Amino acid sequence: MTGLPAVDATDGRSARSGSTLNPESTPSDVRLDGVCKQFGTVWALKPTSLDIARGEFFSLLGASGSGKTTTLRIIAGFERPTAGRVFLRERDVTSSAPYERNVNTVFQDYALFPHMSVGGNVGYGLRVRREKRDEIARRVARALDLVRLSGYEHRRPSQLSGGQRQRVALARALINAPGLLLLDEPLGALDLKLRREMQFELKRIQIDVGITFLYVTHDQEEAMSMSDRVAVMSDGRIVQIGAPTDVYERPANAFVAGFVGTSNVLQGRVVAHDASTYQLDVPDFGIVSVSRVPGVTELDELLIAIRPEKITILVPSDDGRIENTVVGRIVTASYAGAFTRYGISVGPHELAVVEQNMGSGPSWRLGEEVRLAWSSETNHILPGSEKDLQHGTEEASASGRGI
Amino acid sequence: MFPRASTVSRLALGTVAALVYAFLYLPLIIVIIYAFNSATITSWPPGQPSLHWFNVLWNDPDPRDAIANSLKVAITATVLAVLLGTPAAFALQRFRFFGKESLGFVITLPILLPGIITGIAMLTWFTQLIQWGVLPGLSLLTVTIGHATFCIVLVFNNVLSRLRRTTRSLEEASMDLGADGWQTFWRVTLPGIRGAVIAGALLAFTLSFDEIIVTFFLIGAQNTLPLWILGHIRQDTNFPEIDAAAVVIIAVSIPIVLLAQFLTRETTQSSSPAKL
Repeated sequence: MTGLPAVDATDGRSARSGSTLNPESTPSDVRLDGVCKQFGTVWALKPTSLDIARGEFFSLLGASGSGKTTTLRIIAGFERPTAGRVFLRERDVTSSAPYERNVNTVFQDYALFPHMSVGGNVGYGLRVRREKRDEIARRVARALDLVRLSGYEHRRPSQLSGGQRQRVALARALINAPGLLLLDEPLGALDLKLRREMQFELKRIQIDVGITFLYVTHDQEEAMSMSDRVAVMSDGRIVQIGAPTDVYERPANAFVAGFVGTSNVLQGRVVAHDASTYQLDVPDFGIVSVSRVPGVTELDELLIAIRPEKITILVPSDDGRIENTVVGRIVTASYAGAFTRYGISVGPHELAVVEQNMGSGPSWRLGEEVRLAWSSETNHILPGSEKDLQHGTEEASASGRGI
Repeated sequence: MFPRASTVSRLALGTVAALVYAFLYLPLIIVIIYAFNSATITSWPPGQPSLHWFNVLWNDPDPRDAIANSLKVAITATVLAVLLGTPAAFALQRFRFFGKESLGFVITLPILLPGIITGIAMLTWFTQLIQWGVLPGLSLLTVTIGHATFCIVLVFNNVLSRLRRTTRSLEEASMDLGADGWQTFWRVTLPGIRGAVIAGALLAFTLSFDEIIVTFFLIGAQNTLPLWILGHIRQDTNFPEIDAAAVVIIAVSIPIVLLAQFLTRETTQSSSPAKL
């Protein structure tokens, strides 16, 4: 890799919060209105409505078969929806051919034309529009500069590395100045380190060119680190749409809690409540307090989820002055450099807890008795059943867990 | 790496290999030796090296006409094969329609049938057409049609296997970048299958050029080169002239077959990532 931009994590984050978009106030670039797709008797996409704001980095996150690629192909024009309408910049394009849409795609396999040079590939869109030769050359050079491949015009795609091909595909799509760029698992074939670098690169380019990106991925980390908003998909439906923090911190249901990241899920009976919290009686845990959520008042059996990193590990004598504590025993510990992942048994349950390695190495030994503590704000009530959660966890592991 | 064989087994293997090659190529070499010789009869040892028999062949109007006829038939049959075989391969690979599964078999069948069957069948059919006055008589045209039936198969198979190996996403990418159906066909699809079409055409050409059985049934008053050779062998005169004609056939077909092999081996350079 040559000449990667000096974008560090803080830059990436400030850029994202700076461009937080409100779908109601910004003009919509993509609007799906009850769009669905049936192949034979199989519903690849159930009726779905979706609004993507102009300039947004929007991700469709799901396992294979969740309908995310079908959604992208319908927007690109490669598939005709069974029903529903597709709008791009408020223009109905439902029955337009791909070449009649102001949309370009970066394909998963890059789909570079093998019989053309890099310059020929990148300039293809301009050539079929019969632009002037020197204009094409000028814009090809600029597009290659944008993806940091200046001087590669005369190479063949077969002479490039995976990451370079990926960037040629990106330049070829961006040169047409589309209103919307579709990316279908564009980093799927790259190795981990290159993938991380390309994530920053993609985000930088998106901010540079300022156009809407619709990004399809099964990789949670990719979706979380780049997107303004994420739509989690499963079984041909969107299960939750929100900012990455919403999806992670406040999963809409047990499926999302299981699919995005790891969650410890407890089941308990509501025994009391006050203005801001419910008190649940959870077997083996005693009373657990959890923040109240509107719309979930009358249930007496509830599922609650706690993220592994929200739990603090303390010595048993320390009560931590936090609402929820329970005593457990360390049964597994896996050291991962920056943090250690513990499995901690509480009665018949095993909780996943992640602790930063502040000292040198893991701070707890196997078999040690510890107290776990977490606040009522960090756990949350999940609509849906334990079955949904299991489904989510299975789909996440099937698509290679990212977080 | 394979383990190194012992000296004895390498010697044994080498001998067997040499014998196999001799079995395959010695007859060809002998034909070539006689063709470049001045002797009037084929006997061993051969006489002086000479181009005498090529000179005879060149000045003999019969084989010259025969070569011209063979070229006419082969070229026309090849063009027909390309025009019919390529679209057939596309239809089979790209579209769904009734009878799709059997179509591939029906197209491939003529090359599997023994030539004698094709010859009898087509002769019967053409005789009928001649009786009805649709065709004037057996001629190079009927031979060409007969050859086209199996030449199509070569183009069809080559293009089909290339299409199966190319991804649709190249065409989708082209449409996505603003090219309509025609632009996509000329700029992306055709360059992708060009090698396969040419390779199929070259193989079809060589197959037609030396075909003898179907030709024998369907020919009229004219001669093709293989038929002329066959007829000449029976007369048992000017034998080395036939060797010279055989050398002409070898000289035409070997480079064509090699080129066809090279073109099918030159696959579409993979633009897909190495690891998937």
